Amino acid sequence: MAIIAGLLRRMLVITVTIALVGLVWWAATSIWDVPTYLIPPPSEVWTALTTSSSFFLTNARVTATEILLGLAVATGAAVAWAALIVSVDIVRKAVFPLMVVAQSAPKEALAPIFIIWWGFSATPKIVMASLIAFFPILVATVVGLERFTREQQLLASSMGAGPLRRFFSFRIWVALPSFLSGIRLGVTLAAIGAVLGEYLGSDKGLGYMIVTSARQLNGGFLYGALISLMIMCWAMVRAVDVAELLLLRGTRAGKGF
Amino acid sequence: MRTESQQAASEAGRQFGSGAIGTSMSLVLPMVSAIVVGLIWFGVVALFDIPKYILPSPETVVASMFENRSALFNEAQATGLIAITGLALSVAFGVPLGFVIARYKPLRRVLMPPIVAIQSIPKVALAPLFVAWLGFGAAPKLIITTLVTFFPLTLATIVGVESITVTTSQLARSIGCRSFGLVRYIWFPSAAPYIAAAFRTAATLAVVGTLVAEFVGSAEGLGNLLLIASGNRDTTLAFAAILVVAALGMVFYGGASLIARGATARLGSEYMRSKTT
Amino acid sequence: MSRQIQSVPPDVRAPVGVPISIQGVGHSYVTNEGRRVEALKEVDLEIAAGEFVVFLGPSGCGKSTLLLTVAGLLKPTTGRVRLGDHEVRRPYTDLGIVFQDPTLLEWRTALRNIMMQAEVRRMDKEKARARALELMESTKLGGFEDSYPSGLSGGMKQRVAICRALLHDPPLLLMDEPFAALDALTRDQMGIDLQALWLNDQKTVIFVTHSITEAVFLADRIVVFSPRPGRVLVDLPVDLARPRKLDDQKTPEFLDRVDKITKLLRNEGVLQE
Repeated sequence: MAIIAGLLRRMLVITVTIALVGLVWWAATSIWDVPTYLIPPPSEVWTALTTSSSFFLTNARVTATEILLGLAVATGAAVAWAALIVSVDIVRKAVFPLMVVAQSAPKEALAPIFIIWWGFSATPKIVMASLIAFFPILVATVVGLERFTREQQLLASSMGAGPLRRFFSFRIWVALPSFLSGIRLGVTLAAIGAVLGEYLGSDKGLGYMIVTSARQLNGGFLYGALISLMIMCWAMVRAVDVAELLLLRGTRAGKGF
Repeated sequence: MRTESQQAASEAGRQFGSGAIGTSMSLVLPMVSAIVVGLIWFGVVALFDIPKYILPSPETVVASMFENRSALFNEAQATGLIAITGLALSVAFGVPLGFVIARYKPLRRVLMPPIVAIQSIPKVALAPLFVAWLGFGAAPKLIITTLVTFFPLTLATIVGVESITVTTSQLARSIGCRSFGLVRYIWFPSAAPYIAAAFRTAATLAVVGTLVAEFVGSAEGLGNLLLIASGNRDTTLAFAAILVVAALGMVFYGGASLIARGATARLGSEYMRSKTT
Repeated sequence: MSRQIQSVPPDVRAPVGVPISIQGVGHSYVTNEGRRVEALKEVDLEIAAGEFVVFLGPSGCGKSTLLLTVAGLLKPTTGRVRLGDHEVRRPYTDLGIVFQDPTLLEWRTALRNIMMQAEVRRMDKEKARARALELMESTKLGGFEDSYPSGLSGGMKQRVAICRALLHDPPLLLMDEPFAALDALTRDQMGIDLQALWLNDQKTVIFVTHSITEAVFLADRIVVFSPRPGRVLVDLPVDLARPRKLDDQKTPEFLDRVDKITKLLRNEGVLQE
């Protein structure tokens, strides 16, 4: 009951916020004489979104696929590395500090090179997305797996769990909150990677729509594409939140923001 | 007094690179790995006869860096200036805003959901919009850089202030701390570890933000140079620029760490470390 | 110990002890579900200057609430509190307060945690420092001035918190279950040391606890609260000779008081067998 009430209240807050922003936006465009290619009135964006909805949907699907594939590659690689890092001491000592350092390296600089290598295809976007998303997910997973204390391990053993059982029935659950917060970060980062790739060289996708309509000063399409992208990313992050809520019901982490 | 598991946890924290061994390792390891990567790079290019426009050999990249040193230096300066200005703006406004939001509960209720929501949208994607508005000058790049670095700092400040326990604020009030005294004695020291960590992250984000803004629309900076080089299929120069970007990122991260350490010297490094792993 | 405390210059010292008048103080609040909960029924209490009063009662009976109300940290729903001839409306600062959690600032050393009191109050740094060092010496904290809280045991942290509460020599000391998180041996020792400190300068003390033995050992007077909504069950004077020793806990007079309170609480359904 309380969860539903909270959800309803949050929905209300979001609706009111969106309505307010829309109102201010509409007022700004109708009171001042702003050029419509800079700030088009909401109606123009709405018209663009509804009359060309299939065009928007096609491009959104392209970008969504890139983000999700990038995220999947990053997650798979991060989990594999994390398992290796926590179970093999040498790997952990040699590799993990390096990964922590690499987390803050400006990997975005490689994007133009990827375009040279793979051209306008989806590959450079997926590679960019997974490259940026990989490190935070890895670090979060390792930190999560490290939360498995000696007491928890002893408890699991006393119940007769072998090494594999301990890992899959206990340790993974201990690691889950941290892992999911890594995924949450990863979603946004993967989106940045994919869109950046599209900005630098593409012929489809929301990023492509954004740069071309910005260049052609087509306000309706520019804002429509930006809003679609923001909503898409927001929805993906919320999906992780929902997963967290379902998986970790009742725990403190389940309520985290 | 401490339980075994707490000790184990702090031990793990130390091994994660915050202890004495960790510090020296975090300096040596990147160098070792840079050398290893360089050797692999060298080997791959030599063995597989890869065309220069796909992957130039390390020595030609270094030669290109030397050859274009003044151009690279100038562009790095342009990028660095924007990144520093954006970062400074974010600190100057983001941290005080965090304190204000943390102080007033109604404000927190209204502003926290949008701030958290903004965290989850890719802000650099807005770059084309600002370029369309403001042209190829410094303004759109500055806006993007500030936008990217602003919210992590605000959020960290809020989280830091919220980490203060009820008894601590009761104690402070019973001693007689009022507004400014509260900020000075309780709020700032409590939030400092969080702000310092966010500041280090923001420093690298500033470089990334400026770079992406330059990709989208700029007549100068390392991002612009990278685009021109890749447009000309001058992969060698592009790699040279990437190495300079990486170096700039390291300078920013190192500089931010030093500033954070200096600003919080009074709080003791042990305390600062205990809050951030 | 008394010699050291007396060496404090007179201008740092405040008049000893303050009388407290609690008049019809009640607390109720509204829960998230909109239910009105009465935590504390109207309480009347007169506490004399220099008296050591213990509030005793089960969890949630409102005794901590009353303590925070005396400090002006909580506003009562009804009634008022007077300290001497001052009516408490805002946080009242001429007192020292000790919580169950030592509430040390982790970024300050033990000495600087105590000196926090002096910094905020803009006391004379040198004099305050001298007093802080004396207090640390007399509470067996000598040599730990530069230790950070993370390096101190639970008992030592609580001693630092007590020193901090006493640095400005306040006429009133409020203690909210200060020893509840300590082990039994440390707890006994802290009780003995607190008695010695109090005998030395006879501040007014309000001490909240769950422990009947601790209450009888320390108090001039025990105020026993009923389960929620809290009200005063009995106001019991403890006229045992001071300084009390651990062995006194075996005397018939001591056990008689313990017994009386135990029976009282059992009648309220707090202790069931």
